[in-house]
Amino acid sequence: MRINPVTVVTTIILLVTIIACQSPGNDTGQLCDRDCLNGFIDQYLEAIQSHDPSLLPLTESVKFTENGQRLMPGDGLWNTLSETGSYKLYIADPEAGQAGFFGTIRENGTPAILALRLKIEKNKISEIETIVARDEEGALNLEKLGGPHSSFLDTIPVSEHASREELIRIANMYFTGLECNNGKGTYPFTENCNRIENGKQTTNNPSDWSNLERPDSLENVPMVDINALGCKEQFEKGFFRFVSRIRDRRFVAIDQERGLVLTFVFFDHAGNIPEVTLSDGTTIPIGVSRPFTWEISELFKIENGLIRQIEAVLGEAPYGMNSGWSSWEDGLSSQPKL
Amino acid sequence: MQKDLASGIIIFTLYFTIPGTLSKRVEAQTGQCDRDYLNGFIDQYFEALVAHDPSLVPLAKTVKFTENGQVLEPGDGMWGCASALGSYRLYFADPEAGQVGFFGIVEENGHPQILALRLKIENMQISEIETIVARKVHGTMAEPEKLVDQPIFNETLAFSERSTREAMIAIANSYFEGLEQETDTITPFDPNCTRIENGTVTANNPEGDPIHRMTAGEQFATGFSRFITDIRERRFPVVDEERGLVYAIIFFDHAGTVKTVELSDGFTMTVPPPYDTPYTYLIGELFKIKNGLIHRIEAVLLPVPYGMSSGWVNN
Repeated sequence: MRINPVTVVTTIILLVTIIACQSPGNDTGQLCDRDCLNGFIDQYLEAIQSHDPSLLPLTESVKFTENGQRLMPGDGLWNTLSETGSYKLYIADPEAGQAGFFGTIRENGTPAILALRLKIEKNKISEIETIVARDEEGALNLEKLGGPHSSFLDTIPVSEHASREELIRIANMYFTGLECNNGKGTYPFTENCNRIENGKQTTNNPSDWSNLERPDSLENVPMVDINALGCKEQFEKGFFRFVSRIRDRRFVAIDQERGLVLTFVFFDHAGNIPEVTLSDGTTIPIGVSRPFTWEISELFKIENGLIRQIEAVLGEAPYGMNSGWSSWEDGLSSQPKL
Repeated sequence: MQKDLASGIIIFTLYFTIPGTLSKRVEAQTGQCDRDYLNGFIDQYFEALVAHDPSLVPLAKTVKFTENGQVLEPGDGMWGCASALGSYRLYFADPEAGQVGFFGIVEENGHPQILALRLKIENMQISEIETIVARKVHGTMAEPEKLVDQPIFNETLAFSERSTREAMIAIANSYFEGLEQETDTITPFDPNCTRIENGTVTANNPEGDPIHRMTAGEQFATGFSRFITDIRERRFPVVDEERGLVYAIIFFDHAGTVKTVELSDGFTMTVPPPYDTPYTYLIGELFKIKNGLIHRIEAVLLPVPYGMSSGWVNN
């Protein structure tokens, strides 16, 4: 049998490429695929559990933020993470070299939720962005789910892949629809869409108000169980008008294979909207009487141009806070930042 | 016409200069700048705040405004929902630096909140606005209704009781050093030093918890503060020499790395949540210093993301 040298060379190149892509430790500059990106996440979690950033391949100029604050790798959660939890959701964007993760952790033994983003350049970590939601109940609720929603893991047939731009456009419609929500916008949700925020399902999940005690003064004031409604119904209700600004919209990882868009945003509540008139004409009081902000990492599953599932990790931040990844102007802007 | 304008400026300057007793340096920067003049800016600021209209105060073109460490446009943040000024009002003024401070209550949509405010006045305009708002929400332990006038802060010191600006700042800073070094030996406390934090008396309080019954100095002597891992970004923007007041703005970091503290009496204290996780307080802290001793401390504070910056220093 005669061996064709061209075939051998091609095979070797292919093998080298595959190995390079799958090994986080090399510095060939090759594309880091899904397994490679997920490997960086695992490596990060192992290093942080060991409280030792030197275990990671960090670029010299690596930037690390925790809850919007720039810290040295080794500070913040690096000091206190005692172990990882059972809930793990990976997001991979090989084209942009971005790896995302939502998961549960233990911080000195106390359950908490971690949203993590790593940017990989030349097989080194150049950016580390984290939100630590110190929400014990939320973390335990996530673990009770037994794993991420199946739609986040389902692969979309190649023929149905949406473009990156289209995926971002749909995800951004969520924020545009929610900001100063009036119930009259276009809301691209599937019928079975649900949202989980810090482990709690906040759609199609009626509240238990059987033991709710209301002061006499509120006896005749209408109430809305917004969590009992579906994604689209909530938006059509016009309930969220008190969310005055959704800003610093960053679409950091686009997973075309699975139809996922990972975002980091801030929801500002100026505190100057004491009541909201719903789209059915009912006026209800809103308990937001002060300026406050949610810092949020929000993940969207998009199928056929519609949002199928939403998951968010969030924590309260000082009103108007910057993420540490945007200019002041961009940080206060509602325009999507790609 | 040109002459008339010049005369007008001279008369205007004299009008504000004659009653003053202040340093020539600040006069050159600000026109006239005495205590009443500075306090007037605070009052004007609040009138504009509750009217939700920043155009009602003279703002420098380059004015910078922060609320809880975040740079906002004047008109945003508390400007959107301030509804009234409460009765508790504590002013402190630094004519030499053109700085004025205030602790008080501001209602937001009828809900009382504790506010620490600092204004910098330059050329008769407000060039800096720094606010700390301790809202009555989970984690702040804010008790605005407990804030009552503390006459000691308004007492004018005899010249013999005063310290130099530099000495006053050093004394205030020794408070933070004492906490970091876990000792009472480097901070000059008056034996009855009392501290009030967000309305609660947390030192020298006969009706408080055991730790709050101690004076500030006694607390320091226990060595309890080891779990405060850093006191950083120490700024002393307002020094009121006449009244012996120093206003400091700082951060207390708790890295979450210190699990237990062995106190000076041999007892081992377990560090409680939330200080067992990365946790930071933004604090505006006012010291009354008389005869070189800290007599009274009042602070406005709130938890912020670990490691946060004030927005007023270059990192």
